[in-house]
Amino acid sequence: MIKKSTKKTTNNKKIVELQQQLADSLEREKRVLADYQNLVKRNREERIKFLQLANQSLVETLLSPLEHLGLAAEQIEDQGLNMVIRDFWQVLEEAGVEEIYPKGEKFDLETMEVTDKKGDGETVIKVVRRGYRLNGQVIQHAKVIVK
Amino acid sequence: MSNKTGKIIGIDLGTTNSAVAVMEGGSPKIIPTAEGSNIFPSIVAFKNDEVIVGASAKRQMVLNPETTVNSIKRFMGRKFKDKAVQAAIKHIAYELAEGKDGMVTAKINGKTYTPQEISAKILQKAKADAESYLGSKVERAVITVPAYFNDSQRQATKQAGEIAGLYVERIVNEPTAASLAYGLDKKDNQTIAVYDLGGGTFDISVLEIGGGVFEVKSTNGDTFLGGDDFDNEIIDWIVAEFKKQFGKDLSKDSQALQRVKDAAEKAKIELSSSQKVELNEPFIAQGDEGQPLHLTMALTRAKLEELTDDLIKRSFGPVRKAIKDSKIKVSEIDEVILVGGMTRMPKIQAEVKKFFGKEPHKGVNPDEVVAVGAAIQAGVIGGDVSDVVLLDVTPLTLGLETLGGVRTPLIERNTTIPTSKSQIFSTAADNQTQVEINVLQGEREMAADNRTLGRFVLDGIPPAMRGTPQIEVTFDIDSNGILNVSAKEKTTGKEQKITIQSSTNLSDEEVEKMKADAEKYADEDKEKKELIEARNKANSVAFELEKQLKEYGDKLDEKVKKEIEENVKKLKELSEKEDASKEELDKATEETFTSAQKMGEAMQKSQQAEAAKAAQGDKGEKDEKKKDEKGKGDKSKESAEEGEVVKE
Repeated sequence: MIKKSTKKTTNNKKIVELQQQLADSLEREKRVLADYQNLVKRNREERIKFLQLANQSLVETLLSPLEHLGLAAEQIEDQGLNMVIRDFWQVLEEAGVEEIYPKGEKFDLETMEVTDKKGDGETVIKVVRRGYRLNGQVIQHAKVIVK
Repeated sequence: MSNKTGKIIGIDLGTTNSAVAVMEGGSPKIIPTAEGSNIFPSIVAFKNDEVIVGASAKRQMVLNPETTVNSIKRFMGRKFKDKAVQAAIKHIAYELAEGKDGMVTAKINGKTYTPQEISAKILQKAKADAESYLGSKVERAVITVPAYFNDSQRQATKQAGEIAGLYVERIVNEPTAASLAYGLDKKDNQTIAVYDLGGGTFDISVLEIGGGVFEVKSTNGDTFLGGDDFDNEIIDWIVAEFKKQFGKDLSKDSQALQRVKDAAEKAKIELSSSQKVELNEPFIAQGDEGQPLHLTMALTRAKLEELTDDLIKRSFGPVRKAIKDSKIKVSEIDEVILVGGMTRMPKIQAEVKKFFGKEPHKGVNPDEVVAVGAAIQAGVIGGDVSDVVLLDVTPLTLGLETLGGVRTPLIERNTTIPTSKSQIFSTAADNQTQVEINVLQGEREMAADNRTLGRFVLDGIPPAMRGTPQIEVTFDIDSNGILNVSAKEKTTGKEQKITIQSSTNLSDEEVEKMKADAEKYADEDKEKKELIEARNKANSVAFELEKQLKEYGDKLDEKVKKEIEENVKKLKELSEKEDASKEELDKATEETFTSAQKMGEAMQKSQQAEAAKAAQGDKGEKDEKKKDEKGKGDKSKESAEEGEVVKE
């Protein structure tokens, strides 16, 4: 008799233990499933983004020489040079690149970064570094001085 | 999702930058900000009724310095009169005031904010970014603080979390989080140094881990040393070089200076992976006659190291102090971890290595390592990371006992399991019909000093000369850490095996003790092993020569034979002598070998003669055939041919 009741207690204990294990497993399963669904969703979003910005790193490496060309054109009056720059820009615009050159505009947090200020106003008096957008997204903020 | 089951995020709330991470599918993942970067500036801007946090706040900082709050962490839980507060005031543009109980507050647009409230804005951004990334509400977090933070500062950090709507499950020390990211919590009785050089502050911490608990032994640092100082050194150098070359001061022209700043930062980053960078900024200024001036110079890694040498040296003052305070010798530090973006600089890595005498850990992105560790801690609390360590490596070497009581390793320690390894062994004596496999665990060279996991006998080996039978021994550990050892005699296919359940269930202390013993006795063990190997070699050389003497002795000059026999006898006696040294054994083996070379020559001759005989035999047969064909042979010719063959 004693033996039997001990067995029963052991069984009950075992049941509680297994129920707990099951609950834990189900909980874990839900979490894993949720993680997976999130991953699928994110994967989809990232792919779309990737396609939109596939050219981003190439475009980014071109920004510096592009800016230098612009500086050259400001210094050197040369029709040929201007033609080269126009050509260059035509290709970039087709790829979705836009320039941000906000001289005279009001400071805009989304597209600009202030590097210096000459007064209490918020009007851009100088663009020290041009900004760029690729397919509508800012890839380089314009660095500006405001007054 | 209920509060209990929601994800817990790990937040590195830094002075300059912050980062957020979460456990996902069992591993930590950095949560990108809404802007797409992995870290964001710990900057909060107040613009009318709007609060801007992160990169956007940084972009307008120059425009609204009085309403943009940076480095608020420096003021967390501090009194206004604190020395540290007074020192930091110089570096900020917003107004600080003395608040309730003398605590620091920030005054923005006439409103008073506690540092907790400002930090809460940073944490709110972290929470919002995490929610958008995870697609569910986030209500719990683990937040890191510097190891030197006192109770009041920790309390303030916790309050910041609560203001942000986060239940702070735990406040974790930053160096502890970094150690967690490298899995160092799984080690026991280790001393860890964490060298953290970030954007604006430098921290060094010495920790000790024992029984899963991290204890901070000492901390030190420089609250105003960071990446920006390195940038400034490069900028100053470029400006000075340009001035030397063209007499123009680029720092006076805001546009030129901005280009120099950008170029300097880019160069600093590139020089971590390359030896030299070209700085090219055409049309950066105009000469006295209006002609365009171009900045073109090369910056080498060596030059960068020279420019920043003082800054690097400056960091080692606090390092020395921290070591001294910890009362631990540099040589006693087991692990070194690098944290903070600046530690990507090869020179810093080299100096840290030089100082501590060991390679620092640097696999995890140093900008993210603290957040990653916080996420791991969060995972442990949330149940994503089980406290039961999944055993993925063998903690100690597994091997077997071979001739002379030497331990021969089969599976080295730290081998990822499941794994299997086989090796062929043989008998040590002539006509040996059984071998005993003694399965050993441990790092010592001698079998007796290791732990025996089990032993079994493989019998029924066909009698043969020593070294002839091929016995393949296989060690196989499955993913549960169960070790199966089998021994198979290759000619008969006879096999014996044993299963050892407890190959890996040693306590951490046992593993550590065994490893420590191995280190302690390494030299002694090596000597013992080498002596036995020398004895084994002497024995087998003597045995081999004896065998050859029996075979070729009659072909030897009697004097030579006698000499070899004597040498072999001496070698045999020496190898049986208990106190024979390794040197004596090696010398005797060498001498015996040399004297036996004559036997080798004789053997070669005799073999060639046999070969010639065989060849002659063949030829003879052919000749026989020829003779048959021709009918008659010529004897004198035959002997001449034989002579020729021998000559060959």
